[in-house]
Amino acid sequence: MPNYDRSRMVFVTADGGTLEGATRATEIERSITIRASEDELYRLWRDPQHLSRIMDHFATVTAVDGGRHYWVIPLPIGQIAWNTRTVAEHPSESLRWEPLAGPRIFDDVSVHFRPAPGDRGTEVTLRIRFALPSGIVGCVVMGRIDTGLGLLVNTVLRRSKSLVETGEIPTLAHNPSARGSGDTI
Amino acid sequence: MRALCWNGVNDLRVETVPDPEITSPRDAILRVKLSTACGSDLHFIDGYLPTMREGDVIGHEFMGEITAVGSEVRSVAVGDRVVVPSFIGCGNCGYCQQDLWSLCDNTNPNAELQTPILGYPTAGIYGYTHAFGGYAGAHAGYVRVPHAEENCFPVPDEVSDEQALFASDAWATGYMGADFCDIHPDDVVAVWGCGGVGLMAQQSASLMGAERVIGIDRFPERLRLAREKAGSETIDYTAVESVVDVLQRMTGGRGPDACIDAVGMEAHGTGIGYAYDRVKQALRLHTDRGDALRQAIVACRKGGTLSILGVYGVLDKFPMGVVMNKGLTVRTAQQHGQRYVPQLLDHAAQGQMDPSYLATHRFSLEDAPRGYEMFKHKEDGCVRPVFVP
Ligand SMILES: [Zn+2]
Ligand SMILES: [Zn+2]
Repeated sequence: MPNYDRSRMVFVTADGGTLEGATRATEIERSITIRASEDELYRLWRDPQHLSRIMDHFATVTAVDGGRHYWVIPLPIGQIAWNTRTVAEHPSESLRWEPLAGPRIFDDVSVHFRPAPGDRGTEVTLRIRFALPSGIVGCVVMGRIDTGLGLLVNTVLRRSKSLVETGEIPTLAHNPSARGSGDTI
Repeated sequence: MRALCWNGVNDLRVETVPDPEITSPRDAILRVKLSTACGSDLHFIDGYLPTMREGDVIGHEFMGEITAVGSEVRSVAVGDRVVVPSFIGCGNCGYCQQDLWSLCDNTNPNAELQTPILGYPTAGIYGYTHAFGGYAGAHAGYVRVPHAEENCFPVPDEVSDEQALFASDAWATGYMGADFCDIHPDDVVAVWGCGGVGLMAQQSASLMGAERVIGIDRFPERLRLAREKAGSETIDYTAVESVVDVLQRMTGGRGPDACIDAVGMEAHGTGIGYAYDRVKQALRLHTDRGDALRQAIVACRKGGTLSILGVYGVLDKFPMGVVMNKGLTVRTAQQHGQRYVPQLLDHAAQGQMDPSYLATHRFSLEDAPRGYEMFKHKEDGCVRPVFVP
């Protein structure tokens, strides 16, 4: 396929090796209720800028072309990057990001929207199938995603909710402290 | 700027830290005019509450003057004298929309530190551990207030700085505790604790029409304030055999219609624990504290209301069978300040209630560590030390 140079795995180990070996697959599903319509959320989650902002703590997502997205997880040594194809079988109900060939951290990502009772908004369910490389690379990735996979998925949902409901993600940037900037613990 | 920083167990120091900045278009920066210590601060000062970090600026009860606002702030402006509730609300989540501001979904940047224990995160709060948000506190020259339109309440000219200061937490908490009791004109309300929150709960209960209010404590000067300032009858629990018996005698054998616990674990030293490694060392859980709460549960009349304002740990024993068999209604929360502050400022402006006597001692910010010492040991009848940056 043309124009897919960026889909090549760009992770390089310190000794110039490449990523190999078996992967461990783990699927995590978490839900949150957001005060917004399914249509609005569907539109936002298709926007790579929204994805990048809510995954800001560990990944960036950019649009390539025709519904293809380029995902990058930086690591202390190198990075892991891969392309996905967006699958929207049920507009305003669900979205799926299916990985194209090559190594990756997320084997499959999908988000589902359904109306919450009353005027509570929309129930948003995020499902991520992690394909964690084994061995040292897996350890490095886990170190990067150090709060654990469930917390990672929860945090992504929480950040999306805050951004949609309040226009911002709560932050401790420039938080005064006598010992460096007061970031999360 | 100068700020009071936590540096470890019983190690508070006034240090120079960077000034806060506008980080979102909805922020405001306040020049702090007054701030005060709170009993709940003693949890982390004494080392019972995890997720503090060396260098953290502490303090969550404050008022001041707005010196900068973000581009989207319209309803308040630079120069406004404002009071700010200690829990930060967003105004737009389902909880804020229902006036349950301390439960806000969108203001705790460290939400995932709380979810393993609480299930869902609380709102963020200033200067009160990283699990509760990690925001820099207000014992400082300046403080950043997120969502300024929802959290900054302009103070009318007739209301003094000190009156406004207590509306930020102690008064709002006590008032909420009385509000929880749905007071009827012939009700008897008993309040455990005559510290800042307990005194405010007693005075608020009277204002809401309670027939009689009874304050319970052991410090003579606090009991005197309860009688003289809040108009309460008082019980010195060290001078009686059984508080429950005394309350029964005082109420014709019925018991108080509502009981407010404004003590919590503060006097005894245990705190909210989190599922992290340090918890076991940090918690030092005493299993037999909470006498005030147990007394309140037993003393309360059948079908009465139990209003809990004291801050408890997450593993405390609670005599659920007594609550159930007596058909008590339990109401509790961290303060929903934004719901009450406008009413409180109105009460102060109308001269209906004045909380300023809580400010028994005044210190410059530089002397704040001394103020906390005095407050902790209740020296010289200290109810609340007020700090002036
Ligand atoms: Zn407080
Ligand atoms: Zn909210």
